[in-house]
Amino acid sequence: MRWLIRSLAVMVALPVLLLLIVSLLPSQWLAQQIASVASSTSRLNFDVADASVSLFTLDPQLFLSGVQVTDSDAVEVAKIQQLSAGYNMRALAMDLPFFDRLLVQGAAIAIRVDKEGKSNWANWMAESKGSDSSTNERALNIPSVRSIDLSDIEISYTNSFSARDMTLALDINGSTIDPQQSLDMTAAGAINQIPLAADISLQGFSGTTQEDELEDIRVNASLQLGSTIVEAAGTLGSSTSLQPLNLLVKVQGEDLEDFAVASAVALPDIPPFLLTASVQRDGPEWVLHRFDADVGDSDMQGDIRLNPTTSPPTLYANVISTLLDLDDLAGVVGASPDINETASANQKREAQRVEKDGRLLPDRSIEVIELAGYFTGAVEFKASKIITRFLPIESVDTRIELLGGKVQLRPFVVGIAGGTVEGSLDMDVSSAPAKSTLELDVKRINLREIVAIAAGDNKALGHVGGRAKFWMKGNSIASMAASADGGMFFLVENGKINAFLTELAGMDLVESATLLAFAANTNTNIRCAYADLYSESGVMSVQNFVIDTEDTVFLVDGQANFNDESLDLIVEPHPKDLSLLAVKTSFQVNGTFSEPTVSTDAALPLSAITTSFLNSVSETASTLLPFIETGSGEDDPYCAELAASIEKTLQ
Amino acid sequence: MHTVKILAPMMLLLWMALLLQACGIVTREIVPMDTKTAALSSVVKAALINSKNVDAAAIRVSVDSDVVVLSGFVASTDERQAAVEAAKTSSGGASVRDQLELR
Repeated sequence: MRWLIRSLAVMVALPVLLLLIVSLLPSQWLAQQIASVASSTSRLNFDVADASVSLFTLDPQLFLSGVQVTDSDAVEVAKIQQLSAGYNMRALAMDLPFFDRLLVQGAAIAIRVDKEGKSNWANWMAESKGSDSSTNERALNIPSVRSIDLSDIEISYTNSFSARDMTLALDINGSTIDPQQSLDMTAAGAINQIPLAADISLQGFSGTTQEDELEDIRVNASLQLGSTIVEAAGTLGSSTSLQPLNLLVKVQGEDLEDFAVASAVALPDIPPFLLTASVQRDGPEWVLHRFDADVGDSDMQGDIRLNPTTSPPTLYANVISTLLDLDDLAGVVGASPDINETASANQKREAQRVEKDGRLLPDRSIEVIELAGYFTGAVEFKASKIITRFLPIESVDTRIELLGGKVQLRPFVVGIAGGTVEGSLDMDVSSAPAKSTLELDVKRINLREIVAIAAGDNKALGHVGGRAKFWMKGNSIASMAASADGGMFFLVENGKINAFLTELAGMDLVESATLLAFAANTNTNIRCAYADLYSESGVMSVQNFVIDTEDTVFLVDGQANFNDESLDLIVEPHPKDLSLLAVKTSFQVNGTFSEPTVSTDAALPLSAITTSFLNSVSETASTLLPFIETGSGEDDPYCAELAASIEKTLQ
Repeated sequence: MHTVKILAPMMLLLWMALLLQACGIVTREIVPMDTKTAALSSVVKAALINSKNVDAAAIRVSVDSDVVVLSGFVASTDERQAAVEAAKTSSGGASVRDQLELR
């Protein structure tokens, strides 16, 4: 019995003695030992100015001050003025977190990534145990602490590899185990020079990791990044897996510039926007459920599903617009909206630049091309009402397949003036510049509506149909057009042409001048028109271009150069009844796409070349009729006559 | 006075038109195509458009000394063969020169 008492006495006395010794140790010696242990278990160097422990309590505490952490090059990576950690010994007997209190007063953490992509923390930070190497998703482990008080925490992040930087002043206080107490975080600073302010409150932490015992954590968050404001409120099931998640999110911004600069990812220019959505989790997916957005003058609704755990990330979206102002999507294709449109400050500056530049085709990179290369998945987009100043576009319906480096718009259907432009665009965005193949079928587009917009003349009639195919290289519309190889052909039937064109060409000069002076607004019927154009390296040349009116056949020849947007076209009229005419005046179209110039020609000797040209198009014109026929079985009276007239001429 | 106001711009425009004509700013003419050549190229282009295996939009048809010349671009060797075949069939026995570029 005595030996038992002695043994117990020794067993109790030894730890007490040990605790006593530790408690009485000089604080600097203790600090050195702590620093030594920390340094030996990491590849960083720790220096602790002062340390103390209080052990004779059920809530032992560790105090550290003047902690300095340096990397192998003796460059400071962290500094802590005061740190106090309290432990709960009762947790050993009860189901309570062992970590009771954490207090940090004044700390600075510097994270640097050099130009080779190597981080000064890389050797210190261990891989998260919760991570699955087969996915990109990592579990977020929040330690269970009854009382947290972190104040005056400064974090600086400089990444020379990706040219990003961030400075952040943080204050965090609250509890991660007390459901009645919230965990509040405020942050202020800047990301890539974009001011950032965040205020996040989480309430409902229970401290348990048992899924069946988890209660919803209530989330209230607001974030301001530059001029962009994000507000979120809702519930979170597990702080570890971040699901189930149900947040109502509201995002309002001037444009995407703040996000683009902060993330160092090129995003398209868009006008001021407001988006509300329910953000949910579905397994590994993040779901933007039933989002409702106003973008400029347009509205958009739909769902977006993003799975960041796949490689590459998977994105599926279904977007519907009941009112789409194409100017609001101008930035998506590298273009600028009209100066008077609803636009961001960036877009207005860009619109002024473009106006001064004088080029018609947008020469800015289409940011979406690069962005689309990051994902696999598909985006379906439908717009039922379109506002645009260029063409009477009625609807857009497309599916964008994202194939990880390749993007396909298929089908791509645009309703224009009663007809359709239908086709596909295949892009290889993994190559630099991007390679594209464009195929378009133009079917039964009503010229009346086209001309009404282009020239304010609503008397034009007839339909246009045809087909185009081009292979292109480039990341902007201008560079794509400047590299285009391919061609297109179009047929117009039953149209009208402004009288000035025909009269200038076919009548005597006095009458032409009179018409010019009084801007005559009469029209002449187009019986049939056919254009066959081919393009090589962005130079589009006319192979056949003929406009057959009631009394004159116009022949067009020349080139449109998309490299410098220059025009070099000649329009040659050939009156059908030579006996009625005094002279025949052709004219030339030069200048640029945005500023074409027209000059008249000296009178040309009349010839019978019309016959050849009409002959050259008659067969093809007839072949093209399905592009403009309604399918009612009615014969087109004009283009059919074209062939007949050729036969007659040839006799 | 009213008549003068109307006639003045007309006369000015007339003078400008005559001046332009006299100066002969535009000097080139569209080179005529003979009837046979035009007919042949027209028939071949129509055949290419009608062919289900050919995208005629990117194919240029010309005629050089009774030889049908196909130039431009095709997406595959199958399309190239189909284009040449359609040209041969439609041209009534004329020779076909394949200058198509495969993309």
